[in-house]
Amino acid sequence: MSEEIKERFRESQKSHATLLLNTLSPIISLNISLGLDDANREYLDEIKSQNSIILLLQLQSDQNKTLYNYNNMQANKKIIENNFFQREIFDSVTHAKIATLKIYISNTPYEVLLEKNKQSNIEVFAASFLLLIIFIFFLKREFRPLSHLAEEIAKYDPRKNNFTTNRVKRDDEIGVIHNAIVSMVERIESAADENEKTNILLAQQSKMASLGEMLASISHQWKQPLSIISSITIKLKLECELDKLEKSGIETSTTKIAKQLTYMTQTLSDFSNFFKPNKKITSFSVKEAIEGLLFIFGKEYELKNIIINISENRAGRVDNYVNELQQVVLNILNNARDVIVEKELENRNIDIDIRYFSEGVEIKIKDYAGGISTKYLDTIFDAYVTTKKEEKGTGIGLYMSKRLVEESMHGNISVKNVDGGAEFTIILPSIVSQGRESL
Amino acid sequence: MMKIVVILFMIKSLLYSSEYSDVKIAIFAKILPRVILMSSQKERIVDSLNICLIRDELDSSSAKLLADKIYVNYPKSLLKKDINIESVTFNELDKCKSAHLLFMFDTREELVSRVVDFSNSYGVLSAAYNDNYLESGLQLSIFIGRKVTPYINISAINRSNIELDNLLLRISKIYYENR
Repeated sequence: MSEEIKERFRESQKSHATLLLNTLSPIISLNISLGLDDANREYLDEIKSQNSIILLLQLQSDQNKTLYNYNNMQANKKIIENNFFQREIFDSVTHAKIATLKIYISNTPYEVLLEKNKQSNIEVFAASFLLLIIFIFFLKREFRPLSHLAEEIAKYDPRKNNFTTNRVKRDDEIGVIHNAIVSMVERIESAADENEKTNILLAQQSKMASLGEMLASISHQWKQPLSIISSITIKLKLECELDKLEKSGIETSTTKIAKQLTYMTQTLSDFSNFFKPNKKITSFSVKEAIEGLLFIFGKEYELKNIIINISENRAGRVDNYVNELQQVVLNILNNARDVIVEKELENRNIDIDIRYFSEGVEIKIKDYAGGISTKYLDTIFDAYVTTKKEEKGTGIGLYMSKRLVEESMHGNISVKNVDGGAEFTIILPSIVSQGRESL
Repeated sequence: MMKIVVILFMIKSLLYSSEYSDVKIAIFAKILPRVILMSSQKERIVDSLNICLIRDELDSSSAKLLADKIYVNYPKSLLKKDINIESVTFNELDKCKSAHLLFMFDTREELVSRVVDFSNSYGVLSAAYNDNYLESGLQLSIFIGRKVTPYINISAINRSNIELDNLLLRISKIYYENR
């Protein structure tokens, strides 16, 4: 029991004693004054019998003569000094001191009360504890399906499809929650399937777009040799019609035609290699990879007066997928090219800065075409987000680029607006570096 | 001759012997002055507490005894007021007009009524040695049972417009005329 309650008990006792003394004093005073000693004795006997907590009640005259004495202190286990109360009795008329009244109040009722309270507290605590245990037991039992479900959810990976929990036949809240979660997981799986299909579709769309680009490039590359071959054949036909066709001329022409055909074949081969899926990690120079890319597609930029400046902090190599990187770089360059052409900008530079570090390479591709609108900056890598006009952009290129960088090449790609242009940063690690130092 | 002397002595003893208890007289000696101070009579006190002892001729010694005991109990006045005690016969009742309390010794019934009427007329507290007189309308006596307590005729008190201290009423036995 708290000290505060004990203190209240003590205060209560004190109040009781004070009340008793206040009640007794005037009557005792008057009885003594009137010489009614018997009345006092009877009165004090009555008070004593009505208050079992009084263990001592003594009335002594001013001349130390005992007028009344009741002493049951031997019934008390311990004497508490604070439980003694004393009051001097004065004559109500003369105000002279005529007697002293002493009283001792027993603690026993309070101690019994305290003991009972303690006992009941223990019982209440024990009962509460038991109820709590039972409650927890039933609670755990009730929530076990949810607990199991939580573990399943924690382990769940939509790509592994490893969710094995089935629906339960329960109508209560637990059952509703359980089935709702199972239903949610089913929807996630369904959405994941849909997403996978979408990704495949996107990849196909991306390939088709690349194919279109490739055909356009091949077409462009082949224009000149086809023109030469056409000229040679026209020349041969004219010489034949004019009977001026000589053996040496035929040989020269066929040699020239063969050379052009070889060039065309080489061109086709280069395109074929570029778009051929290559899942082999190779050690390559980023600068050389980009230059190889420009060898194939460089004409596209030259014709539009776009100058691509490549710089590197040192000659280096990185272990990763070269074709994927070329596709990503080509995609970024094509986007820059389209914007530059669309805006008819004077500054047609695109800077590519390559910086090798101990565990990989950082490639920054920067143009000066005004940058990306802030409303697209956060979503530029999402599917179907494009800053181009509808007929020109599909919103797939950067989405596929991000997937290639992050999922295939284990790198990172980001963009920000710098100095009036957009700056793409690609960070690639050397993902196979066993037995050799990373570049 | 000797026989005559003895008979005369016995006659005197029988005629003048006190039938009043010393103990009871002693209690009255303590109570009476205080009762005045515990009543509304207190407001009438000017210089002294006036107590009138009314008795038959034969009780003069008892009256003197009571007066002496009062003076023994309160030798130097009470609350700085002197205590004046006048012992009068029933025929001299008019001398008690300025008294604050009348105390009556035993007497004949018709004389009791006179004292009661006088008490009511002059608004004076009335007390009697004999508690039976409460039935006749006297206000105060003492009751002797297992203990001694003041005995108050509350109806008589109310009739005379005298007020008593609650504490006095609390320790007293109350006499109700109608019960």
